[in-house]
Amino acid sequence: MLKINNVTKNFGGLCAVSNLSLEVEQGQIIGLIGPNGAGKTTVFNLITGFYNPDSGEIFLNDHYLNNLKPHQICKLGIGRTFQIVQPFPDITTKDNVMVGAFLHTSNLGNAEKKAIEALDRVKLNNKQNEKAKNLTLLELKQLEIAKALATEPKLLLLDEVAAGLNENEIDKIMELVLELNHQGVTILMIEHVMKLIMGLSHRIIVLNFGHKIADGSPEDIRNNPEVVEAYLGKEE
Amino acid sequence: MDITFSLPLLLQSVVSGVFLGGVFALIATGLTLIWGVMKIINFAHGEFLMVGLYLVYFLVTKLGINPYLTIPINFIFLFLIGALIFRVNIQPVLKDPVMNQILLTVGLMLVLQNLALLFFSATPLTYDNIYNRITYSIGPIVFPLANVLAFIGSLIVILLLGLFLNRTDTGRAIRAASQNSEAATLMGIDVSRTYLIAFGIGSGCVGIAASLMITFYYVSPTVGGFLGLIAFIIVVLGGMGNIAGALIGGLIIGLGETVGAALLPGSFSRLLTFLIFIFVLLFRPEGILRRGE
Amino acid sequence: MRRIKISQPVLIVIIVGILFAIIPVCLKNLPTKDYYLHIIILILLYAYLSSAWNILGGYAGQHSLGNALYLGAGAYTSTYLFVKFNITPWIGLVFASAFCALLGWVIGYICFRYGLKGGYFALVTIALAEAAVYLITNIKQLGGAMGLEVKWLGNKPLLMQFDGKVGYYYIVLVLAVFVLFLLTWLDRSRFGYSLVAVRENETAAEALGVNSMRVKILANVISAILTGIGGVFFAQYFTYIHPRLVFGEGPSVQILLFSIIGGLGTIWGGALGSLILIPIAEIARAQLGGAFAGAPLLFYGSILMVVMLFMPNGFLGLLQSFYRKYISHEKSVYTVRPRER
Repeated sequence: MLKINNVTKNFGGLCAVSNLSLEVEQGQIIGLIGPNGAGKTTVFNLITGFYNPDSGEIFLNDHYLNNLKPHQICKLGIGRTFQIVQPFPDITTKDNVMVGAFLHTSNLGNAEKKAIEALDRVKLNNKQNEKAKNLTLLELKQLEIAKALATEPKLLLLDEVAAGLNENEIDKIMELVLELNHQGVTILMIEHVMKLIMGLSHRIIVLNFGHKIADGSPEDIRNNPEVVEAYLGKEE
Repeated sequence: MDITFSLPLLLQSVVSGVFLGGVFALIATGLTLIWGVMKIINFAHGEFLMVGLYLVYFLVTKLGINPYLTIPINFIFLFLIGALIFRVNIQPVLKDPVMNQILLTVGLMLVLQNLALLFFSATPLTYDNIYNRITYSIGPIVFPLANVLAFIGSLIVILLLGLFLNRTDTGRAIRAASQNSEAATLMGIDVSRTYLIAFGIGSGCVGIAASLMITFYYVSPTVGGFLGLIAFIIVVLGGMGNIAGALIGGLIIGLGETVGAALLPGSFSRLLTFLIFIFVLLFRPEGILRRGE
Repeated sequence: MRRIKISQPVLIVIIVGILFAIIPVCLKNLPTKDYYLHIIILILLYAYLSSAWNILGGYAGQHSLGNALYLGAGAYTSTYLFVKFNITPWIGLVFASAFCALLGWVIGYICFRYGLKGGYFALVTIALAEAAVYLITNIKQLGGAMGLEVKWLGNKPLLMQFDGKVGYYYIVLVLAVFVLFLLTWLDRSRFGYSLVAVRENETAAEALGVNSMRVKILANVISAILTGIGGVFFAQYFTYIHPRLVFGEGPSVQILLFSIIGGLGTIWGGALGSLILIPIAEIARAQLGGAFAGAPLLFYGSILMVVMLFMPNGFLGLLQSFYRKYISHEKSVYTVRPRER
């Protein structure tokens, strides 16, 4: 579904991503891990059009994504959440999600319905009319996902959804991600919380200093000396 | 459209431009200090100058004080006014969205302008003085003493300000606060007092400029509008917080005004100035002369 | 038979429209009626202009401080065509709209293509309006500093000229009602949501498929066209325009002030603001005598300062926090700026 071929991205003198190739197949949950600064969020930004690759290609099925703008890539079916949540603070939760829902409909009633559905899926419908700036961190994360879901993505990119959450909340997120995947959403997620990655991923890709250093099942990764050496992250 | 060209005229306009530019630079220096330190866009800066001009006018005509002796008086007066306005109006909104700050200073601009219109009429006032009438000449080029003194005075003040910022503790505190107010606080600097002083000095500069300008410029309630905008353009050209930039920018704009007026018909030179301003804002908002501050 | 559901805001606009429509009839026999009609015309005109601004400034969050640029562009276009070619302002209106659309598009494109935001965008818009003042002052054919006069040919509705105030009153009432209907639609439309999204968080908006540049430019163009049309009316009503009058900071500040007071990004912001402030300003002008022309601006400047210092959410924001509990929650994107302390 998603193909990244030999993509490189430089910022000034710093090489953030170097000759990266990876594939995500439909229906999978793929984990993307690596120490801080490994280039993971850069990869997300490259996929979603916030950055353009210096070299290499990115494909979504047959669509060539390289020079597209974020809104165009969203229309093609890639949704994302941000590491630091990016809500629309001064409007209600439902209105937040409706912005996403309007992608595929111009009818207010339909958008509202879709928004409520999405909020349902993330279990946030009790906070429909609360302004986003009043939500807790967990709720904001749920909102992030709901917004992306409303755009009916084929591929969902989750950027450290579990960061800052406690044990209980992490479990809730895990359930949610699993459920979404069962409902047909392909997921590529960046995480530091190993419980989430190991528990959910069909496959894990490990980045270090912009290079891919491993690509395999959770077992393989756990036992890969290079990965262990690089930085396996905090065992939560 | 007839473009007249004569070398003496051109040279004269260059000389006049440099002198004018010096004074513009002084006005802009005050603004760039405020903008650079507090990231506040003070739309009322021109109006401070207007207030300073009225004060000087009063001092020289009613009290008969020599214009150049009013420099310290005006500096102190404008410093205090600036400090007061800062305390009452600016400080409360420092943490608010930028737009609110802008609108506040726009409101202040309107209030000052129209209060002046209310108390003094719109009729421009000029101060007849000897400095304006004494001129030196080199060949066909004329140097009115008033302009020369204004230029020299501006340069001195700008230089002193530079020294102040680099050599004194307060100056360094200002620079520290402008770069990173949190770190500055952690280092024991009273940031809000520092801001107050910076705002006061920025306003005081404009007071000095008024003292220097009274000998060759007119006084009216709307004086601040144009000069304030010019100050902005200079600050954007030279880089926010960049005093050397303000000097160079001032000279460029000053030259633009005079040379442009000599070469182009009507106010087209002024239009050109605006277009350059817009261009810089679009493509190099940190200023044409990029200097780390 | 399908029941046509009229939303609450639309109903309010209809009622208000009807109320204002019968005012001239009520005042018919009052000797000072022209004075009151004049005030209401001002209120309606600025409700219209401010609401047009609110689309760009309130909903989209791009605070233009120089919307007078389009006011002047519209005014000069129609007046020049009238004075030079005897083209009726009703047709001139079309030209004015087209010109302002183009202007709005070009300016919007240049500004937003380069990601100009917040304070810098405000500065550019101010610079453009000021530049217009200087530009027009230098063009003799447009009257230069002396401006243009709309020559009075008597009561000719086809030339948008009327004896007395009533003709102008109904034109501006139609404008105001129209723009309010437009806002009721915008408030609950896909376009309106995308405007608010861009205002609240441009990055997030992009990630949800909103083309932020296109949205901002479109908002600018719409605002420009509407303001330009207002400029045509302005010229016809005041019959004399000069650069400082139509391009200056006076109209620009009033236009945005009323929306700020009335509520940024709300349907009623511009209307409420003008309704509240214009009468007070006019009283101030009357009290201080005709000699002091700056009374309204002094008043507006003070209000601007007071609001920024003490209640940046405007009156509507104040009301809203009380009303929240009593009005049903099918309210839309009410978008009052928070005081971020």
